[in-house]
Amino acid sequence: MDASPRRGFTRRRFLGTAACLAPTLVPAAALGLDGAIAPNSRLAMGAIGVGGRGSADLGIALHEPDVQVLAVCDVSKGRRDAAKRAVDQRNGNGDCATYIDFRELLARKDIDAVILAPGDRWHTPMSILAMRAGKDVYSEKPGTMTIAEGQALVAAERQYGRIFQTGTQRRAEYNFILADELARQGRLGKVHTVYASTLVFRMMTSWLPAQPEPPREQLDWNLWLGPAPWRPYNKGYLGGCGAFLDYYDFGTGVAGWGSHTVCQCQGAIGADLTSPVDYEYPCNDTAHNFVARFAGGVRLVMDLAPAPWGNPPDNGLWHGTCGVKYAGSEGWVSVADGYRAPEVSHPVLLADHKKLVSDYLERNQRPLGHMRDFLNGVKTRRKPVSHAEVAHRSMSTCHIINISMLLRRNLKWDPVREEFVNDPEANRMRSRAVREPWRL
Amino acid sequence: MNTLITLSFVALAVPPSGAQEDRVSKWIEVLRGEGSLEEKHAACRELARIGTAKAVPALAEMLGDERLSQPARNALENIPGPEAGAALRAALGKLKGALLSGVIHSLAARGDAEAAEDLARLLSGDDAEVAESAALALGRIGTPEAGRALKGALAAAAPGAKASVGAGCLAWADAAMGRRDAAGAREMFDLVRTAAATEAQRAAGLCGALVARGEGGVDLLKESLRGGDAAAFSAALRAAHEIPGPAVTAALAGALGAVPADRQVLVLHALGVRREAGSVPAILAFAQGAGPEPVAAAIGALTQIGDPAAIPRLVEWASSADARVSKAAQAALAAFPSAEADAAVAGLLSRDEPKTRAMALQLVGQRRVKTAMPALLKAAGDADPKVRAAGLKVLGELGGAAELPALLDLLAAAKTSEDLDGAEAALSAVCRRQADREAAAARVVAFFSGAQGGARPAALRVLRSLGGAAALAAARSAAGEAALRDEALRMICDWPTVDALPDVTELSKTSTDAKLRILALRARIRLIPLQEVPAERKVAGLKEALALVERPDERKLALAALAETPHPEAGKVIAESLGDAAVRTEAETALLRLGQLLADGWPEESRAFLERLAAAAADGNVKRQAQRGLRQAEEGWKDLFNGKDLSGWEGAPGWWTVEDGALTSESTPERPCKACTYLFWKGGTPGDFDLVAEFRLSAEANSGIQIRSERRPNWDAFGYQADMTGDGKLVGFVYHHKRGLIAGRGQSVTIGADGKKSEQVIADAGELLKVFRKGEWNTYRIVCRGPEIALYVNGTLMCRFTDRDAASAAASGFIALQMHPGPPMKVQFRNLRLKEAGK
Repeated sequence: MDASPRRGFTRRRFLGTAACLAPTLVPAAALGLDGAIAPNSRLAMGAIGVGGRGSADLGIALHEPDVQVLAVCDVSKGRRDAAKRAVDQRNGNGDCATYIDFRELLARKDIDAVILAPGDRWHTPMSILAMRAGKDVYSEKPGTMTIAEGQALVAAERQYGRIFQTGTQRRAEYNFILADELARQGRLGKVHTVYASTLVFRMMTSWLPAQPEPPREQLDWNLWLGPAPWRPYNKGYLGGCGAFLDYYDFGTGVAGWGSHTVCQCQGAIGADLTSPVDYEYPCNDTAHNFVARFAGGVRLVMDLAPAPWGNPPDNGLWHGTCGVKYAGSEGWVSVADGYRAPEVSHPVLLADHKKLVSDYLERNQRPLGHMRDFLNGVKTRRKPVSHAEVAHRSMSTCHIINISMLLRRNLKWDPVREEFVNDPEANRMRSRAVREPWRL
Repeated sequence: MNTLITLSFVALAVPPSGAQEDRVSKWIEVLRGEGSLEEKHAACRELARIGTAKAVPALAEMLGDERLSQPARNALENIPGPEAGAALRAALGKLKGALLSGVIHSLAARGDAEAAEDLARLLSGDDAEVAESAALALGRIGTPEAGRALKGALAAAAPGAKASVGAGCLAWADAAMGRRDAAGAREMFDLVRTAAATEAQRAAGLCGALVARGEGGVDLLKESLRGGDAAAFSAALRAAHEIPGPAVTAALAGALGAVPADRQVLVLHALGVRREAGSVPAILAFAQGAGPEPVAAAIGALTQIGDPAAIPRLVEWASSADARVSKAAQAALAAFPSAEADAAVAGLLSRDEPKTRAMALQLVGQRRVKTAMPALLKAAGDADPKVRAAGLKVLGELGGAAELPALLDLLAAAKTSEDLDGAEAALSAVCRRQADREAAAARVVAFFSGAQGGARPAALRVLRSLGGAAALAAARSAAGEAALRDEALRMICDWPTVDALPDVTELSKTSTDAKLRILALRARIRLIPLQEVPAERKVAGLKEALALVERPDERKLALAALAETPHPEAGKVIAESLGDAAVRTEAETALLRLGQLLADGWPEESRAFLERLAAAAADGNVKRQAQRGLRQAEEGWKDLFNGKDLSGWEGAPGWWTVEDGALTSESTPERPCKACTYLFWKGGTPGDFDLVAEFRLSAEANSGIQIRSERRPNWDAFGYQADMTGDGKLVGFVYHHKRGLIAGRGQSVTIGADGKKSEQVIADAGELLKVFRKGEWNTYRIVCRGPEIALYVNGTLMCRFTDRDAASAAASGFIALQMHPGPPMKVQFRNLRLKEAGK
């Protein structure tokens, strides 16, 4: 497992940038969930994959008063030890257990919930294994590698009655909630177009030349590959952007950011549990300006971030990473990471921003903070905002766009039957065999 | 909620075409050949998409090879027809361990019912992995036969194997729910919840058993909520979230009094999520005697349910002595989703206790109860200072134009400095929201001329927040009054719009107050870039301002402004400060920024600035970035023309020559041009690219640069053209051979998939033409990305064109230069450079 796929993606500092507009809202205070916590009622957690993204998630969990992390797991000794230090420091002891093989961590009966942040190819199979072991799961995005994986993920969540949250954390950030509410509460009039930021589209199938595999203690190549097709080792795959993410077998094309931004867009127009029906291949190789239409007529437009690294990308729609824009008959809102406030067509749209957000939180008894929402779900057994089907459907949209890009043609999708209409070849791209001994 | 989807590809079979069979044969050859593993993986990937029964034998041969089994299965899982399933079943008897597990998983993916019998036999084998794969596969196949096999195995399994079988049982029961076989599912879930090996599976079984029972399972639900262990309680709560209907709501509400305190909060939360008003009486009754924590949870639930029946109690709780309860109730009242709550909080405004009135004001503000305006105005004159302050604040939040007179009255009547500040803040807030700012300003100006005391400067500040001509005029007149002079002049220096530029320009030159001079100068530097004038004029203004600068601080501001003014002149002005040690870093940074800004439109000037920094910048970082900028600007460009001859180009013999180092075509009275003739670049048919070309036209000339075009016989071309004429009239237009002038200078045009055209003006066509230099060398930059084509001339955007027209759009094609018929003319092109996107 490579546990830090997101090295290039972590420009956001989690505890620093969120909610600049009004950071002092009461987060679902009435729940009585996050108040005074007796140590024996803490949730026992483990973390698997504690590279860049995974250690950030772990750090957030360690800030929650009702969490006690008992164990961490990573194939890399350096990451494992660093995570253990952070956990031990918070717990004031030296008891945090460490594992190389995640199956040993999942076998522990005293762990309630796990944070999973291995490489993308692992997300679904490992989430399913964790839920079968009776764990609640906070799993990083992108949630799935294929449409069929998403169906299996939803089935596992249902079969085991577990709580699952995919790591689309903007669903619980102030500015993004505000933008979503402006759309959902009709402040933009009838929303006709939603724009989602995407990154470089690459789904290479070629192999890099074989290199000698490193010693197993340093990196278990077979375990790194896990459920993905076998191919010879090359260190060029290790790492995230510019490495494994650019490959068909290991990455998810437009879902690099689309897993976040499409999820936001679908949430904003109340389309969490479906996908667009018409997909228009844009005749390019980047997926820029890819247009998909929902059954209700709303257009989803993918927008390629022109220069994602270094300065925040500014494409005329937003300036920052993971941007979205919602346009309606009476106005528009756009937001990306690091904004002090969303940008809007008319300033008046933001006049009662605090009320819009606090009403959303109160009315739905949701907290700010994606990990907090997950932890509340663990306690209340209510599904978190980005539960398995939300993950599956927004990822389906991304996968369908990828398939359209690969087949270079327009596609029609039936979101009820989860089938392409009159396109057997596309239908056969909904699933890929998982490499033995792993399974869904 | 329980739609189980099996990927049944068998149902999607369509007869393969001849072409498809040919491709399949080709990939089978690869599988059977001596090629590399990578090639075989690729063949399998293709066969997964298009493979037919013909490919099955070759794929089946690979199932025993651990490097190729997965890709082979990937294809076999997806090939329609019975052959692939039969081949996978045949492999069951030949394989062991992981490879066998893989084949089992593939049969599960195909939902292969015929495999059930073979799989049932594998449930009792020694290999736990294989047994679990078989159990999960049987579960997913979901036939009655598979179910019987799983049930039997669960009863008979050794303790170690039981968990594997249990996983299959759960999968089977879930599949049964998907088929709407609730009875079958219930039976299997019941078996799992009582007989499974692990707590996780028993809990899953309970959850499933409850969901399968639906409203009929309330007794089991109650029992599990009250008496169950932690895992059972948890499963029951999860199930309750999945079962709609009043019976479950009643069961949950009934459990409130019967479960331990730590579970009460969770049951209340579940009731809130259900949003059924039927539970409200039970929740209110329960909260009667409950402690602060459950009451807070009850408040959360009541808010979610949103039944107005809860409002009186929320009002009561809002004044509770327990901070936790009062905070929760106030938050609930602020968010409560009903009009009754508006009336309830407005009603609190007339309460006797000042504390309650202050709280009510806050709630009215949060709920934005505009109907409470009379009460708010009254509160703004309340006897209690805290209530007055809260009232003014809410008035500021909710007030509209209608409240302006009353607010001005309040300002006039304010006695304490707090009241004055409060009224001023409220007025400013209301004014800022006015769509008709002029009208609001007129009112405030009228007030200002008659105002006395502290209200006078306050009104002036309100005008500042309004801006506009009338407000500025008032500020100017106030500057003539001794008492207001300082305030007014500072305000003018702080003016947000360019209207104040003449004032601050004058002040910066003439004021005798050194401090004020500095403020005015700073304002001048701030306002110059805001003008809507050509960049040269801004540079000239900033240069004038710089002449007055005495301190490094203002010099830095001016440098920063110059850095954002995209004109080469700005660079020259910045460069004058490079020798000033006090601002050297800022000057270098500014020149760097400007150099980057100019890279697209003024590449030569940009390079000169960056080269200077790259060679001599004192700041190491600036130096490195300048070097990088130079590298980036040069990377990826290729010269299309060598400046010497027609290498790389082809056109009608005799029509194109190289003259003055430029590709040249000329017609004369003796040798007129009778039909369009094009010079084609032979190096490719690029799609997404930047093309830069310098061109010079005689006065009568008509020419153009073809992009993404087709070649036609007799040196003709067809497609998009960046148009140009010697008189400039068609410079900056996109022309198309079929559709004519499709995008004009100053326009942004989109043609939709349906061929419909929409236009938007982005700049004045006449103004844009001013960048074109007749009879001299000009530079076209043509930027093509996806459906978009943008034209720049001499660094200025001329037009944008987005082509989605399915009938006519072209994504790539030839580059060519046009020679046009007509009066004698001469067209020349040089320095043609191409940078393909992503290369």
